[in-house]
Amino acid sequence: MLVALGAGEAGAVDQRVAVGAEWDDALIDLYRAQRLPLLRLAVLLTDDPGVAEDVVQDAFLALQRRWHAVDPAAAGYLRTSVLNGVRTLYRRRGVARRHLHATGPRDDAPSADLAVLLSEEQREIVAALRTLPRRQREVLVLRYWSELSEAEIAAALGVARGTVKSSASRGLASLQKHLGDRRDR
Amino acid sequence: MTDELERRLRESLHAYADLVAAAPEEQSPRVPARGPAARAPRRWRGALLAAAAAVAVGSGSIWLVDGRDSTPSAGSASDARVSAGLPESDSQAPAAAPSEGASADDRALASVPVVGVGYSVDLPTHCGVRGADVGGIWFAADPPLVEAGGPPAGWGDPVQPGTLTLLTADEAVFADAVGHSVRLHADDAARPAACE
Repeated sequence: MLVALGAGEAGAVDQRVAVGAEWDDALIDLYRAQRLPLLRLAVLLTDDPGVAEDVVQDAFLALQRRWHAVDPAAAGYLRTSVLNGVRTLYRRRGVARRHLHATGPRDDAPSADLAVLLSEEQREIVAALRTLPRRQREVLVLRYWSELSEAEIAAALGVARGTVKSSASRGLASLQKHLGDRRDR
Repeated sequence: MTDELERRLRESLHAYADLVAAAPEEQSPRVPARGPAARAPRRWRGALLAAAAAVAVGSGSIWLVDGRDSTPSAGSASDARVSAGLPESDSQAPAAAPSEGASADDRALASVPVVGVGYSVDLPTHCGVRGADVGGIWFAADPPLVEAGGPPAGWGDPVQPGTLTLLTADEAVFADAVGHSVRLHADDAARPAACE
């Protein structure tokens, strides 16, 4: 069911928005400085460089739209935007997979797996990471790759610090078990 | 044991991330343009079109449709954010009609919601009046209206028809014919769990 319909009566355009934001030098500089770390973060969360690139581009487009209202040192804003973008993407992908019965080849197949280039031990860790629930994986990536504190992770994910702590603890325990199980085989 | 695992995890994550190399040609963002050639490829576009429309209520998303075109403005997950999200600098002309021969992407961009314009919507209320996803940006109700896990008495369930109007890029107001009125603020960090 599609819920929204046609436009109604027109009103005055808000001048704060009408001014808009262009790709000024500061924004371009921010892009050059932050694109790669954000892209890496998105890959660690999606395993798909193509998807990661789209998520990061969308984060910058969102920032550009509200550039007038955001701190120019907007790394935190961008990081949260990427996290939300990944979450939104997977939620919608999940919906699509549940509702579509595609007969042709899937057009959302992931790109080539970069992890094949890792050492065997590193591949094991990454494979174990992929088995974790999304929240646990996010917390572990933000903790052990982004090197954020519990408070920073809580702010980035919009959850309580206790949730960060428990997710990290459960995630590590699951990784340990997964790796142990593999060794026992 | 945990220290060792943490060390290995940190090392593996860094090794994995370092495989993502900087692309020298990507020194500036891809600015969205009114033509498909200048837009980033969206490999999931087709797969999401039908399903996303079918579950718009369930996911709490509001999909804005240009009054002159019955095609949903959400060409993809990402396009939805562009088309129904915050107004862009190049979109201040009130939802200009697409030119002849315009592509689907052109039509999507032409239906960007404009500040001050009222859009007829069905506000999702099944888990209470918590807000709405307007094209990928969460607009949180201020205050949220939730009673016993659902909407207060007098509100429709699962949706309440009404009009959503962007007051600014970050503020909106929902009002309906029976007198309900809720202010909403853009706040992606406040996005609640999906309503089952």
